Amino acid sequence: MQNNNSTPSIFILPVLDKFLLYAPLHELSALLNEAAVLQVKQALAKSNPDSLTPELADLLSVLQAPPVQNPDRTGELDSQFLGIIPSRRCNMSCVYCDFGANLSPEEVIDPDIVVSAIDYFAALTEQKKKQFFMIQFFGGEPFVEQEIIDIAVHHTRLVGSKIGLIPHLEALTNGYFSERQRIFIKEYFDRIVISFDGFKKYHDKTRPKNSRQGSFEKVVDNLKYLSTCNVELSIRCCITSESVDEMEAIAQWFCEEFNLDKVNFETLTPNHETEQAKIYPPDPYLFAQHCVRSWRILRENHVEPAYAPISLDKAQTTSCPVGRDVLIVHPDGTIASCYLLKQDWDKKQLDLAVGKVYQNGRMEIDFEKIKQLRNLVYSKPRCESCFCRFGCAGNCHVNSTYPGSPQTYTDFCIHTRIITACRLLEEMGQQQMADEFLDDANALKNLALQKSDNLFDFKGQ
Amino acid sequence: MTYYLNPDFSYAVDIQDIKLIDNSNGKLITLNYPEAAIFDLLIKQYPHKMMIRMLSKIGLMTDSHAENLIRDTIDFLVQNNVLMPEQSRG
Repeated sequence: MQNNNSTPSIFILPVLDKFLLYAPLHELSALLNEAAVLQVKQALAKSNPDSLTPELADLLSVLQAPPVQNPDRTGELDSQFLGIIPSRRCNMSCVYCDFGANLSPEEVIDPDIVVSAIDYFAALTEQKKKQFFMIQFFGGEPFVEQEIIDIAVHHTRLVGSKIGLIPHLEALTNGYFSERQRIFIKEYFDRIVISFDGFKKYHDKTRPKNSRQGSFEKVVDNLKYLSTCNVELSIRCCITSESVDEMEAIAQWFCEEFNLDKVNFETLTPNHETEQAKIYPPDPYLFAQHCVRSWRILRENHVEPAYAPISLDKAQTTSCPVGRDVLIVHPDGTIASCYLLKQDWDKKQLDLAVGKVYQNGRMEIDFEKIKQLRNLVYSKPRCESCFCRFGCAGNCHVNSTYPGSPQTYTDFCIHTRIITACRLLEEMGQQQMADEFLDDANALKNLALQKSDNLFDFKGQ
Repeated sequence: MTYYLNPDFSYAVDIQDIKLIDNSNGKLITLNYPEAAIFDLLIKQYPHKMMIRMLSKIGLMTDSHAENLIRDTIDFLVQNNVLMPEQSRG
Protein backbone atom coordinates (compact mmCIF):
# COMPACT_ATOMS: atom_id res chain seq x y z
CA MET A 1 0.00 0.00 0.00
CA GLN A 2 1.41 3.34 -1.06
CA ASN A 3 -0.34 5.16 1.74
CA ASN A 4 1.90 5.02 4.79
CA ASN A 5 2.67 6.97 7.92
CA SER A 6 4.19 9.81 5.91
CA THR A 7 0.94 10.28 3.99
CA PRO A 8 -1.61 12.20 6.04
CA SER A 9 -4.87 10.32 6.39
CA ILE A 10 -6.30 11.85 9.58
CA PHE A 11 -7.60 15.35 9.02
CA ILE A 12 -8.98 18.11 11.15
CA LEU A 13 -11.27 20.86 9.84
CA PRO A 14 -12.52 24.01 11.54
CA VAL A 15 -16.32 24.17 11.40
CA LEU A 16 -17.77 27.16 13.27
CA ASP A 17 -16.69 26.71 16.91
CA LYS A 18 -15.98 22.99 16.54
CA PHE A 19 -13.58 20.75 14.67
CA LEU A 20 -14.47 17.97 12.30
CA LEU A 21 -12.10 15.05 12.54
CA TYR A 22 -12.14 13.03 9.33
CA ALA A 23 -10.24 9.82 8.72
CA PRO A 24 -11.49 8.46 5.40
CA LEU A 25 -9.34 5.33 5.45
CA HIS A 26 -10.70 4.49 8.91
CA GLU A 27 -14.25 5.45 7.88
CA LEU A 28 -14.44 7.80 10.82
CA SER A 29 -15.76 11.31 11.25
CA ALA A 30 -16.42 13.07 14.55
CA LEU A 31 -17.08 16.56 15.88
CA LEU A 32 -14.68 17.62 18.62
CA ASN A 33 -13.77 20.73 20.54
CA GLU A 34 -10.23 22.12 20.44
CA ALA A 35 -9.10 20.50 23.67
CA ALA A 36 -10.24 17.08 22.46
CA VAL A 37 -8.42 17.53 19.15
CA LEU A 38 -5.18 18.30 20.96
CA GLN A 39 -5.66 15.33 23.26
CA VAL A 40 -6.21 12.96 20.33
CA LYS A 41 -3.21 14.38 18.50
CA GLN A 42 -0.95 13.96 21.52
CA ALA A 43 -2.24 10.49 22.27
CA LEU A 44 -1.66 9.38 18.65
CA ALA A 45 1.84 10.82 18.66
CA LYS A 46 2.73 9.01 21.87
CA SER A 47 0.74 5.88 21.08
CA ASN A 48 -0.13 6.06 24.76
CA PRO A 49 -3.68 7.14 25.54
CA ASP A 50 -3.45 8.33 29.12
CA SER A 51 -6.31 10.11 30.83
CA LEU A 52 -8.64 10.20 27.83
CA THR A 53 -12.40 10.18 28.25
CA PRO A 54 -14.00 6.86 27.25
CA GLU A 55 -15.39 8.49 24.06
CA LEU A 56 -11.97 9.76 23.02
CA ALA A 57 -10.35 6.45 23.94
CA ASP A 58 -12.83 4.68 21.62
CA LEU A 59 -12.06 7.15 18.86
CA LEU A 60 -8.35 6.64 19.38
CA SER A 61 -8.64 2.88 19.19
CA VAL A 62 -10.28 3.20 15.76
CA LEU A 63 -7.55 5.51 14.53
CA GLN A 64 -4.79 3.26 15.87
CA ALA A 65 -6.23 0.18 14.20
CA PRO A 66 -5.18 -0.65 10.63
CA PRO A 67 -7.16 1.35 8.03
CA VAL A 68 -10.42 -0.20 6.86
CA GLN A 69 -10.02 1.15 3.35
CA ASN A 70 -7.16 0.82 0.94
CA PRO A 71 -7.69 3.21 -1.98
CA ASP A 72 -4.64 2.00 -3.88
CA ARG A 73 -5.22 0.00 -7.02
CA THR A 74 -2.92 -2.98 -7.30
CA GLY A 75 -2.71 -6.16 -9.33
CA GLU A 76 -3.38 -6.85 -12.99
CA LEU A 77 -5.09 -4.59 -15.51
CA ASP A 78 -8.72 -4.23 -14.47
CA SER A 79 -10.52 -1.67 -16.57
CA GLN A 80 -14.02 -0.65 -15.46
CA PHE A 81 -15.09 0.12 -18.99
CA LEU A 82 -13.93 0.55 -22.54
CA GLY A 83 -14.37 4.08 -23.86
CA ILE A 84 -14.73 4.78 -27.55
CA ILE A 85 -14.40 8.23 -29.12
CA PRO A 86 -15.82 7.81 -32.65
CA SER A 87 -14.65 11.29 -33.61
CA ARG A 88 -14.33 14.78 -32.16
CA ARG A 89 -16.97 16.17 -34.48
CA CYS A 90 -20.07 17.74 -33.04
CA ASN A 91 -23.43 19.05 -34.25
CA MET A 92 -23.51 21.89 -31.73
CA SER A 93 -21.36 24.94 -30.98
CA CYS A 94 -20.96 25.01 -27.22
CA VAL A 95 -18.87 27.92 -26.04
CA TYR A 96 -16.96 25.90 -23.47
CA CYS A 97 -16.35 22.62 -25.28
CA ASP A 98 -13.81 20.55 -23.31
CA PHE A 99 -13.72 17.77 -25.85
CA GLY A 100 -12.01 19.48 -28.70
CA ALA A 101 -14.88 19.78 -31.15
CA ASN A 102 -13.59 23.19 -32.21
CA LEU A 103 -9.92 22.34 -32.34
CA SER A 104 -9.33 18.77 -33.33
CA PRO A 105 -9.09 17.18 -36.76
CA GLU A 106 -12.24 15.67 -38.22
CA GLU A 107 -10.77 12.20 -38.06
CA VAL A 108 -13.32 9.39 -37.70
CA ILE A 109 -12.22 6.19 -36.03
CA ASP A 110 -11.65 3.19 -38.29
CA PRO A 111 -14.30 0.47 -37.69
CA ASP A 112 -11.52 -2.16 -37.59
CA ILE A 113 -10.00 -0.32 -34.63
CA VAL A 114 -13.38 -0.28 -32.89
CA VAL A 115 -14.03 -4.02 -33.25
CA SER A 116 -10.46 -4.94 -32.27
CA ALA A 117 -10.72 -2.88 -29.11
CA ILE A 118 -14.08 -4.43 -28.24
CA ASP A 119 -12.68 -7.93 -28.77
CA TYR A 120 -9.71 -7.17 -26.53
CA PHE A 121 -11.93 -5.74 -23.82
CA ALA A 122 -14.36 -8.67 -24.06
CA ALA A 123 -11.49 -11.10 -23.51
CA LEU A 124 -10.30 -9.03 -20.53
CA THR A 125 -13.80 -8.93 -19.05
CA GLU A 126 -14.27 -12.66 -19.54
CA GLN A 127 -10.88 -13.35 -17.94
CA LYS A 128 -11.96 -11.33 -14.88
CA LYS A 129 -15.14 -13.43 -14.73
CA LYS A 130 -17.27 -10.31 -14.78
CA GLN A 131 -20.90 -10.42 -15.77
CA PHE A 132 -21.17 -7.03 -17.45
CA PHE A 133 -19.32 -5.76 -20.44
CA MET A 134 -19.35 -1.97 -20.22
CA ILE A 135 -18.75 0.29 -23.22
CA GLN A 136 -18.98 4.09 -23.04
CA PHE A 137 -19.12 6.44 -26.01
CA PHE A 138 -17.66 9.93 -25.83
CA GLY A 139 -17.14 12.66 -28.41
CA GLY A 140 -17.30 15.36 -29.80
CA GLU A 141 -20.85 14.19 -30.07
CA PRO A 142 -20.85 10.40 -30.43
CA PHE A 143 -24.21 10.15 -32.21
CA VAL A 144 -22.88 12.26 -35.09
CA GLU A 145 -21.08 9.05 -36.10
CA GLN A 146 -24.16 6.81 -36.15
CA GLU A 147 -22.53 4.28 -38.49
CA ILE A 148 -19.63 3.73 -36.07
CA ILE A 149 -22.02 3.54 -33.12
CA ASP A 150 -24.12 0.93 -34.97
CA ILE A 151 -21.06 -1.18 -35.72
CA ALA A 152 -19.79 -0.90 -32.15
CA VAL A 153 -23.15 -1.61 -30.51
CA HIS A 154 -23.88 -4.66 -32.66
CA HIS A 155 -20.35 -6.03 -32.44
CA THR A 156 -20.51 -5.66 -28.64
CA ARG A 157 -23.82 -7.50 -28.53
CA LEU A 158 -22.59 -10.19 -30.90
CA VAL A 159 -19.47 -10.82 -28.83
CA GLY A 160 -21.49 -10.70 -25.62
CA SER A 161 -23.96 -13.27 -26.90
CA LYS A 162 -21.11 -15.58 -27.95
CA ILE A 163 -19.28 -15.59 -24.63
CA GLY A 164 -22.15 -14.95 -22.25
CA LEU A 165 -21.40 -11.37 -21.21
CA ILE A 166 -24.18 -8.85 -20.67
CA PRO A 167 -23.47 -5.68 -22.62
CA HIS A 168 -23.88 -2.39 -20.77
CA LEU A 169 -23.85 0.58 -23.14
CA GLU A 170 -23.47 4.19 -22.08
CA ALA A 171 -23.01 7.48 -23.90
CA LEU A 172 -22.19 11.07 -23.00
CA THR A 173 -24.15 13.17 -25.44
CA ASN A 174 -25.39 16.70 -26.04
CA GLY A 175 -28.93 15.36 -26.43
CA TYR A 176 -29.31 16.87 -29.89
CA PHE A 177 -30.30 13.75 -31.80
CA SER A 178 -33.08 12.71 -34.15
CA GLU A 179 -36.28 10.82 -33.35
CA ARG A 180 -34.85 7.73 -35.04
CA GLN A 181 -31.72 7.99 -32.92
CA ARG A 182 -33.59 8.36 -29.67
CA ILE A 183 -35.55 5.20 -30.44
CA PHE A 184 -32.23 3.45 -31.04
CA ILE A 185 -30.93 4.79 -27.71
CA LYS A 186 -34.07 3.58 -25.94
CA GLU A 187 -33.69 0.14 -27.46
CA TYR A 188 -29.96 -0.44 -27.04
CA PHE A 189 -28.52 1.82 -24.35
CA ASP A 190 -28.48 1.31 -20.60
CA ARG A 191 -27.33 4.75 -19.52
CA ILE A 192 -27.28 8.18 -21.12
CA VAL A 193 -25.64 11.30 -19.73
CA ILE A 194 -26.94 14.48 -21.38
CA SER A 195 -25.14 17.80 -21.09
CA PHE A 196 -27.90 20.27 -20.34
CA ASP A 197 -27.34 23.61 -18.66
CA GLY A 198 -30.74 24.33 -17.14
CA PHE A 199 -33.18 27.06 -18.08
CA LYS A 200 -33.37 28.17 -21.72
CA LYS A 201 -31.63 31.50 -21.06
CA TYR A 202 -28.59 29.63 -19.73
CA HIS A 203 -28.59 26.56 -21.94
CA ASP A 204 -28.92 28.43 -25.23
CA LYS A 205 -26.19 30.84 -24.23
CA THR A 206 -23.63 28.15 -23.41
CA ARG A 207 -24.83 25.33 -25.69
CA PRO A 208 -26.25 26.81 -28.91
CA LYS A 209 -26.86 24.69 -31.98
CA ASN A 210 -25.05 27.37 -33.95
CA SER A 211 -24.69 31.16 -33.93
CA ARG A 212 -28.33 31.64 -34.96
CA GLN A 213 -30.19 28.86 -33.21
CA GLY A 214 -30.48 27.44 -29.72
CA SER A 215 -30.72 23.77 -28.85
CA PHE A 216 -32.92 23.98 -25.75
CA GLU A 217 -36.25 22.78 -27.18
CA LYS A 218 -34.81 19.76 -28.95
CA VAL A 219 -32.77 18.64 -25.95
CA VAL A 220 -35.77 19.08 -23.63
CA ASP A 221 -37.89 17.04 -26.03
CA ASN A 222 -35.31 14.24 -26.04
CA LEU A 223 -34.92 14.37 -22.25
CA LYS A 224 -38.70 14.05 -21.90
CA TYR A 225 -38.79 11.15 -24.32
CA LEU A 226 -35.96 9.30 -22.55
CA SER A 227 -37.64 10.02 -19.20
CA THR A 228 -40.38 7.60 -20.27
CA CYS A 229 -37.92 4.84 -21.22
CA ASN A 230 -36.10 2.17 -19.30
CA VAL A 231 -32.77 3.97 -19.65
CA GLU A 232 -30.75 5.33 -16.74
CA LEU A 233 -30.84 9.05 -17.44
CA SER A 234 -28.42 11.63 -16.05
CA ILE A 235 -27.93 15.34 -16.61
CA ARG A 236 -24.56 17.02 -16.53
CA CYS A 237 -25.23 20.69 -15.88
CA CYS A 238 -22.53 23.32 -16.23
CA ILE A 239 -22.95 26.23 -13.84
CA THR A 240 -21.71 29.73 -14.62
CA SER A 241 -21.56 32.99 -12.69
CA GLU A 242 -24.99 33.79 -14.17
CA SER A 243 -26.77 30.55 -13.32
CA VAL A 244 -25.28 29.84 -9.89
CA ASP A 245 -27.97 31.73 -7.96
CA GLU A 246 -30.67 29.64 -9.63
CA MET A 247 -29.20 26.21 -8.95
CA GLU A 248 -31.94 25.25 -6.50
CA ALA A 249 -34.63 26.35 -8.97
CA ILE A 250 -32.89 24.41 -11.74
CA ALA A 251 -32.67 21.29 -9.56
CA GLN A 252 -36.38 21.57 -8.71
CA TRP A 253 -37.29 22.05 -12.35
CA PHE A 254 -35.20 19.04 -13.43
CA CYS A 255 -37.03 16.89 -10.90
CA GLU A 256 -40.44 18.11 -12.03
CA GLU A 257 -39.84 17.90 -15.78
CA PHE A 258 -37.79 14.73 -16.19
CA ASN A 259 -37.46 11.27 -14.75
CA LEU A 260 -33.79 11.36 -13.80
CA ASP A 261 -31.45 9.02 -12.01
CA LYS A 262 -28.59 11.44 -11.43
CA VAL A 263 -27.74 15.12 -11.81
CA ASN A 264 -24.18 16.38 -11.87
CA PHE A 265 -23.67 20.09 -11.30
CA GLU A 266 -20.21 21.21 -12.29
CA THR A 267 -18.55 24.56 -12.71
CA LEU A 268 -17.56 26.07 -16.02
CA THR A 269 -13.94 25.42 -16.95
CA PRO A 270 -12.81 28.76 -18.38
CA ASN A 271 -10.92 28.86 -21.65
CA HIS A 272 -10.27 31.29 -24.48
CA GLU A 273 -13.72 30.70 -26.01
CA THR A 274 -15.59 31.29 -22.75
CA GLU A 275 -13.71 34.53 -22.20
CA GLN A 276 -14.62 35.70 -25.68
CA ALA A 277 -18.25 34.82 -25.01
CA LYS A 278 -18.07 36.64 -21.65
CA ILE A 279 -19.12 33.54 -19.75
CA TYR A 280 -17.41 33.04 -16.42
CA PRO A 281 -17.21 30.36 -13.74
CA PRO A 282 -19.20 30.93 -10.56
CA ASP A 283 -17.73 32.20 -7.31
CA PRO A 284 -16.60 29.00 -5.54
CA TYR A 285 -18.25 29.91 -2.23
CA LEU A 286 -21.57 30.67 -3.93
CA PHE A 287 -21.35 27.47 -5.94
CA ALA A 288 -20.71 25.42 -2.80
CA GLN A 289 -23.64 27.01 -0.94
CA HIS A 290 -26.09 26.46 -3.79
CA CYS A 291 -24.73 23.02 -4.60
CA VAL A 292 -25.30 21.67 -1.08
CA ARG A 293 -28.88 23.00 -1.10
CA SER A 294 -29.57 21.78 -4.65
CA TRP A 295 -28.40 18.31 -3.72
CA ARG A 296 -30.93 18.23 -0.91
CA ILE A 297 -33.69 19.03 -3.40
CA LEU A 298 -32.45 16.27 -5.67
CA ARG A 299 -32.33 13.72 -2.85
CA GLU A 300 -35.81 14.69 -1.66
CA ASN A 301 -36.98 13.86 -5.19
CA HIS A 302 -35.07 10.54 -5.27
CA VAL A 303 -32.51 11.84 -7.74
CA GLU A 304 -28.90 11.08 -6.89
CA PRO A 305 -26.49 14.02 -6.93
CA ALA A 306 -23.47 12.86 -8.92
CA TYR A 307 -20.14 14.46 -8.25
CA ALA A 308 -17.10 12.29 -8.83
CA PRO A 309 -14.70 14.31 -6.61
CA ILE A 310 -16.73 13.43 -3.52
CA SER A 311 -16.68 9.78 -2.57
CA LEU A 312 -17.48 9.36 1.10
CA ASP A 313 -18.25 5.64 0.92
CA LYS A 314 -15.15 4.57 -0.90
CA ALA A 315 -11.71 6.16 -0.65
CA GLN A 316 -10.17 6.71 -4.07
CA THR A 317 -6.90 7.94 -5.50
CA THR A 318 -8.52 9.44 -8.59
CA SER A 319 -11.89 10.95 -9.39
CA CYS A 320 -11.74 10.40 -13.14
CA PRO A 321 -10.97 7.45 -15.46
CA VAL A 322 -7.22 8.17 -15.27
CA GLY A 323 -5.76 5.88 -12.63
CA ARG A 324 -8.67 3.44 -12.84
CA ASP A 325 -7.11 1.39 -15.64
CA VAL A 326 -9.81 2.67 -18.00
CA LEU A 327 -9.06 2.17 -21.69
CA ILE A 328 -10.40 4.92 -23.97
CA VAL A 329 -9.83 4.50 -27.68
CA HIS A 330 -9.26 7.79 -29.49
CA PRO A 331 -10.13 8.35 -33.17
CA ASP A 332 -6.52 7.68 -34.27
CA GLY A 333 -6.37 4.38 -32.36
CA THR A 334 -4.43 5.75 -29.38
CA ILE A 335 -5.57 4.20 -26.13
CA ALA A 336 -5.54 6.51 -23.13
CA SER A 337 -7.25 6.63 -19.78
CA CYS A 338 -8.21 10.24 -20.46
CA TYR A 339 -10.77 11.42 -22.99
CA LEU A 340 -9.26 14.89 -23.39
CA LEU A 341 -7.18 15.71 -26.45
CA LYS A 342 -3.58 14.55 -26.66
CA GLN A 343 -2.53 18.15 -27.27
CA ASP A 344 -4.04 19.08 -23.89
CA TRP A 345 -1.82 16.55 -22.08
CA ASP A 346 1.20 17.53 -24.12
CA LYS A 347 0.85 21.15 -23.02
CA LYS A 348 1.04 20.00 -19.40
CA GLN A 349 3.94 17.61 -20.08
CA LEU A 350 1.79 14.59 -19.34
CA ASP A 351 1.64 11.40 -21.35
CA LEU A 352 -1.66 9.67 -20.67
CA ALA A 353 -1.48 7.27 -23.61
CA VAL A 354 -1.33 3.68 -22.44
CA GLY A 355 -1.46 1.84 -25.73
CA LYS A 356 -2.49 1.68 -29.35
CA VAL A 357 -4.91 -0.25 -31.52
CA TYR A 358 -3.82 -0.78 -35.10
CA GLN A 359 -6.06 -1.29 -38.12
CA ASN A 360 -4.82 -4.85 -38.51
CA GLY A 361 -6.27 -5.65 -35.09
CA ARG A 362 -2.96 -5.62 -33.23
CA MET A 363 -3.27 -4.04 -29.82
CA GLU A 364 -0.55 -2.86 -27.45
CA ILE A 365 -1.10 -1.95 -23.81
CA ASP A 366 1.77 -0.60 -21.72
CA PHE A 367 0.96 -1.90 -18.26
CA GLU A 368 3.87 -0.02 -16.68
CA LYS A 369 2.26 3.26 -17.74
CA ILE A 370 -1.06 2.15 -16.32
CA LYS A 371 0.65 1.44 -13.00
CA GLN A 372 2.21 4.92 -13.03
CA LEU A 373 -1.20 6.51 -13.59
CA ARG A 374 -2.64 4.64 -10.62
CA ASN A 375 -0.35 6.58 -8.29
CA LEU A 376 -0.59 10.09 -9.76
CA VAL A 377 -2.20 11.53 -6.63
CA TYR A 378 0.92 10.77 -4.62
CA SER A 379 2.89 13.22 -6.72
CA LYS A 380 0.52 16.16 -6.28
CA PRO A 381 1.96 18.62 -3.74
CA ARG A 382 -1.28 20.62 -3.55
CA CYS A 383 -3.20 17.57 -2.39
CA GLU A 384 -0.68 16.34 0.15
CA SER A 385 -2.39 17.67 3.27
CA CYS A 386 -5.90 18.17 1.88
CA PHE A 387 -8.72 16.16 3.44
CA CYS A 388 -10.22 15.59 -0.02
CA ARG A 389 -7.18 13.67 -1.26
CA PHE A 390 -9.01 10.34 -1.02
CA GLY A 391 -12.07 11.65 -2.85
CA CYS A 392 -11.23 14.46 -5.25
CA ALA A 393 -7.62 13.29 -5.44
CA GLY A 394 -6.64 16.42 -7.31
CA ASN A 395 -9.56 16.43 -9.75
CA CYS A 396 -8.47 16.61 -13.40
CA HIS A 397 -4.85 15.53 -13.79
CA VAL A 398 -4.56 17.64 -16.95
CA ASN A 399 -6.42 20.85 -16.14
CA SER A 400 -6.11 21.07 -12.39
CA THR A 401 -3.17 19.26 -10.78
CA TYR A 402 -0.77 18.87 -13.68
CA PRO A 403 2.98 18.67 -12.97
CA GLY A 404 4.20 22.07 -11.85
CA SER A 405 0.71 23.40 -11.15
CA PRO A 406 0.39 26.01 -8.38
CA GLN A 407 0.29 24.58 -4.87
CA THR A 408 -2.36 27.01 -3.67
CA TYR A 409 -5.99 25.96 -3.67
CA THR A 410 -7.96 26.74 -6.80
CA ASP A 411 -11.63 27.71 -6.98
CA PHE A 412 -12.33 24.04 -7.65
CA CYS A 413 -10.51 23.08 -4.45
CA ILE A 414 -12.44 25.68 -2.47
CA HIS A 415 -15.89 24.56 -3.50
CA THR A 416 -15.00 20.86 -3.28
CA ARG A 417 -13.62 21.30 0.25
CA ILE A 418 -16.77 23.11 1.43
CA ILE A 419 -19.20 20.71 -0.23
CA THR A 420 -17.33 17.68 1.10
CA ALA A 421 -17.32 19.10 4.65
CA CYS A 422 -21.06 19.78 4.43
CA ARG A 423 -21.74 16.27 3.16
CA LEU A 424 -19.78 14.86 6.10
CA LEU A 425 -21.85 16.96 8.51
CA GLU A 426 -25.07 15.86 6.83
CA GLU A 427 -23.99 12.21 7.01
CA MET A 428 -23.49 12.75 10.75
CA GLY A 429 -27.03 14.10 11.08
CA GLN A 430 -25.77 17.68 11.49
CA GLN A 431 -27.76 19.37 8.73
CA GLN A 432 -28.53 22.40 10.87
CA MET A 433 -24.85 22.87 11.61
CA ALA A 434 -24.11 22.55 7.88
CA ASP A 435 -26.66 25.31 7.22
CA GLU A 436 -25.14 27.60 9.85
CA PHE A 437 -21.72 26.88 8.42
CA LEU A 438 -22.86 27.70 4.87
CA ASP A 439 -24.28 31.02 6.06
CA ASP A 440 -21.05 32.05 7.78
CA ALA A 441 -18.65 33.54 5.23
CA ASN A 442 -15.72 33.59 7.67
CA ALA A 443 -16.24 29.98 8.68
CA LEU A 444 -16.30 28.94 5.03
CA LYS A 445 -13.04 30.75 4.37
CA ASN A 446 -11.38 29.31 7.46
CA LEU A 447 -12.08 25.80 6.26
CA ALA A 448 -11.63 26.35 2.54
CA LEU A 449 -8.25 28.06 2.86
CA GLN A 450 -6.73 26.04 5.71
CA LYS A 451 -3.25 25.26 4.42
CA SER A 452 -2.90 21.84 6.00
CA ASP A 453 -5.72 19.63 7.20
CA ASN A 454 -3.27 17.12 8.62
CA LEU A 455 -4.11 16.48 12.27
CA PHE A 456 -0.41 16.46 13.12
CA ASP A 457 -0.06 20.03 11.84
CA PHE A 458 -2.86 21.23 14.12
CA LYS A 459 -1.71 23.75 16.69
CA GLY A 460 -5.00 25.07 17.99
CA GLN A 461 -6.51 28.46 17.33
CA MET B 1 -34.91 -2.77 -52.62
CA THR B 2 -36.08 -1.22 -49.34
CA TYR B 3 -38.38 -2.85 -46.82
CA TYR B 4 -40.68 -1.75 -44.06
CA LEU B 5 -41.73 -3.53 -40.91
CA ASN B 6 -45.12 -5.23 -41.20
CA PRO B 7 -47.40 -3.18 -38.92
CA ASP B 8 -48.71 -6.43 -37.44
CA PHE B 9 -45.27 -7.03 -35.96
CA SER B 10 -43.60 -5.40 -33.02
CA TYR B 11 -40.11 -6.10 -31.81
CA ALA B 12 -38.14 -6.01 -28.58
CA VAL B 13 -34.39 -5.67 -28.24
CA ASP B 14 -33.36 -8.23 -25.65
CA ILE B 15 -29.97 -8.64 -23.96
CA GLN B 16 -28.57 -10.99 -26.58
CA ASP B 17 -31.11 -11.06 -29.40
CA ILE B 18 -34.13 -9.35 -30.94
CA LYS B 19 -37.60 -10.80 -30.51
CA LEU B 20 -40.24 -10.26 -33.18
CA ILE B 21 -43.86 -10.68 -32.24
CA ASP B 22 -46.69 -11.11 -34.72
CA ASN B 23 -49.50 -9.34 -32.88
CA SER B 24 -52.12 -10.89 -35.17
CA ASN B 25 -51.44 -14.44 -33.99
CA GLY B 26 -48.93 -14.18 -31.09
CA LYS B 27 -46.18 -15.92 -33.06
CA LEU B 28 -42.67 -15.19 -31.71
CA ILE B 29 -39.51 -15.16 -33.81
CA THR B 30 -36.10 -14.78 -32.16
CA LEU B 31 -33.29 -13.28 -34.19
CA ASN B 32 -29.87 -14.13 -32.79
CA TYR B 33 -26.63 -12.44 -33.82
CA PRO B 34 -25.54 -11.57 -36.44
CA GLU B 35 -29.06 -11.69 -37.95
CA ALA B 36 -30.30 -9.33 -35.22
CA ALA B 37 -27.82 -6.71 -36.43
CA ILE B 38 -29.09 -7.10 -40.00
CA PHE B 39 -32.64 -6.49 -38.82
CA ASP B 40 -31.61 -3.22 -37.15
CA LEU B 41 -29.63 -2.07 -40.19
CA LEU B 42 -32.65 -2.86 -42.41
CA ILE B 43 -34.99 -0.93 -40.13
CA LYS B 44 -32.58 2.01 -40.32
CA GLN B 45 -32.69 1.71 -44.13
CA TYR B 46 -28.97 1.85 -44.69
CA PRO B 47 -28.07 1.54 -48.39
CA HIS B 48 -27.36 -2.08 -49.35
CA LYS B 49 -23.65 -1.58 -50.02
CA MET B 50 -23.17 0.21 -46.73
CA MET B 51 -24.99 -2.59 -44.93
CA ILE B 52 -22.61 -5.14 -46.43
CA ARG B 53 -19.62 -3.12 -45.32
CA MET B 54 -21.01 -2.59 -41.84
CA LEU B 55 -22.00 -6.23 -41.34
CA SER B 56 -18.58 -7.41 -42.45
CA LYS B 57 -17.13 -5.33 -39.61
CA ILE B 58 -19.76 -6.30 -37.04
CA GLY B 59 -19.42 -10.02 -37.77
CA LEU B 60 -15.73 -10.08 -38.75
CA MET B 61 -16.61 -11.69 -42.08
CA THR B 62 -15.83 -11.14 -45.73
CA ASP B 63 -18.00 -8.83 -47.81
CA SER B 64 -19.33 -11.79 -49.82
CA HIS B 65 -20.24 -13.69 -46.66
CA ALA B 66 -21.95 -10.55 -45.33
CA GLU B 67 -23.83 -10.11 -48.60
CA ASN B 68 -25.08 -13.72 -48.55
CA LEU B 69 -26.12 -13.45 -44.93
CA ILE B 70 -28.06 -10.24 -45.58
CA ARG B 71 -29.83 -11.85 -48.55
CA ASP B 72 -30.73 -14.98 -46.56
CA THR B 73 -31.96 -12.92 -43.60
CA ILE B 74 -34.12 -10.71 -45.82
CA ASP B 75 -35.57 -13.83 -47.48
CA PHE B 76 -36.35 -15.30 -44.05
CA LEU B 77 -37.97 -12.11 -42.80
CA VAL B 78 -40.02 -11.64 -45.97
CA GLN B 79 -41.16 -15.28 -45.94
CA ASN B 80 -42.32 -14.83 -42.35
CA ASN B 81 -44.12 -11.59 -43.25
CA VAL B 82 -41.93 -9.56 -40.88
CA LEU B 83 -40.67 -7.31 -43.65
CA MET B 84 -42.69 -6.09 -46.59
CA PRO B 85 -41.12 -4.69 -49.76
CA GLU B 86 -41.59 -0.93 -49.91
CA GLN B 87 -43.15 -1.27 -53.39
CA SER B 88 -46.00 -3.36 -51.92
CA ARG B 89 -47.09 -0.42 -49.78
CA GLY B 90 -50.42 0.75 -51.17
